[in-house]
Amino acid sequence: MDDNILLEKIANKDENAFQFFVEKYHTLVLNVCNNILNSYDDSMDVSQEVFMKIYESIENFRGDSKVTTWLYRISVNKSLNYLRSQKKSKWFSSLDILFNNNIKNYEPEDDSLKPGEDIEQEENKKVLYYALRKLPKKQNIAITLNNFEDLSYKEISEVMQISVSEVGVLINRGKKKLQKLIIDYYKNN
Amino acid sequence: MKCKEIHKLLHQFMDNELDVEQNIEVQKHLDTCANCYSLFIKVQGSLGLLKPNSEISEQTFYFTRLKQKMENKIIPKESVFAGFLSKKLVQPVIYLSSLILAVYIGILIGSGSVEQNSYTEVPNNDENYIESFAQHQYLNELDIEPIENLILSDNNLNED
Repeated sequence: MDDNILLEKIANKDENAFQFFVEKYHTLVLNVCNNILNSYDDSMDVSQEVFMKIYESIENFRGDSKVTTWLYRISVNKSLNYLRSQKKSKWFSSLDILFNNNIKNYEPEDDSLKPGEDIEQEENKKVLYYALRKLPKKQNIAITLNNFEDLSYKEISEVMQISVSEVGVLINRGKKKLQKLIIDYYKNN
Repeated sequence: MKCKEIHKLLHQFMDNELDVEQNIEVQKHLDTCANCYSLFIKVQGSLGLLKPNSEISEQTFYFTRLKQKMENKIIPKESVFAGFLSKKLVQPVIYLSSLILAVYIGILIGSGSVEQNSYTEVPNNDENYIESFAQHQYLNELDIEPIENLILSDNNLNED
C-alpha cells in the first residue's frame, strides 16, 4: 500500500491502516531511537511516543518529504527530548521514589554483558556513546544518522532541514571532536 | 617524540592528515610505546563501532503494546498555570519542607527532651543520684547490669 494512501487512512482513524504503518516502520524507529539512547527499554518507550504523536498529529504531515524523513525527524527529536528530561529528573528521582511511586524512576545503565559481546567491546561502546552525548546536538544527530543509519548527506539535510554543505561541516567537525573526546577519556581513565 | 605530543597528533594520524615525516614519527613511537599503542587500539575500537547499526529486529507484539499504551494513556486537562504551579513551585516546596521536617525530627530524637532526663532533677547528694546518673549513661535508658550495681555500691563504700 502506498504511504500517502496509508497516511490518509490513518488521518481518518483507520486502525488497520495504522497497524500496517506501525508494523512497516517500527524497526526503523526503534533503531534510530536505540542509536541515540543506547537502551532497548528507553527505545521501546520513545518509539511508542513517536507513533502516538504520529497518530495524534497526522495532519501536520504535508507530504513534501518522504515518510521516512518525517519519521527520522520525529524519532530524533523525541529521543533528544527524552535524554534532556532524564538529565533534569535525575536529581528529583531519588525523592520521587519516596513521594510518588507512579513516576518512572531513572535507572542507571545496565552494566551486565549482552550475550555475544565481550567486555572490551562493551567498554568501547560505552565510551563512544559517552563521547557522542558530549557533542553539540546537531553534530551528534548528523553523525548518528550518517554512521548508524547510513543516510546520505542529502537525506540528512532533509531530516535536519539544513543544507547539504552544513551536514558535511557538522560531520567533519563532529568526528574530529569525537576522536578528541574519546582519546581524552581513555587518557584520563 | 614524547607521549604527550603523540596524544595530540593521534586523531590526525588516524585520519591520515599528518605529513610523511610526522606519520613515520608517530608510527615509530606506537611501535615502541606500549601505553600509547594501547590507547591507539582502544580509540580505534570505539571509533570502529561507528557503523550501520540495526541491533533491534522486528518486534512481534509491538503494535499490541502500542495499542495498550494508547488506550491507557490519560491526558489530564490542566491549565498552564496549574501545571506551572505543580511543577515549578509546589513540588520543590514540598520536597524542601519534607527535608527540613526530617532533619528537625532527627535532631529531636538525637538530643532528647531535658524534661525527660530525670537524673538532672535529682539532687546530687541523694543516694539515688548515682544510680539515676548511671542509668542515664546508657542509651534508651536500659537497666544497668547487676555487676555495675555492685561496682557502684563498692565505689560508694570506698568513698565513705
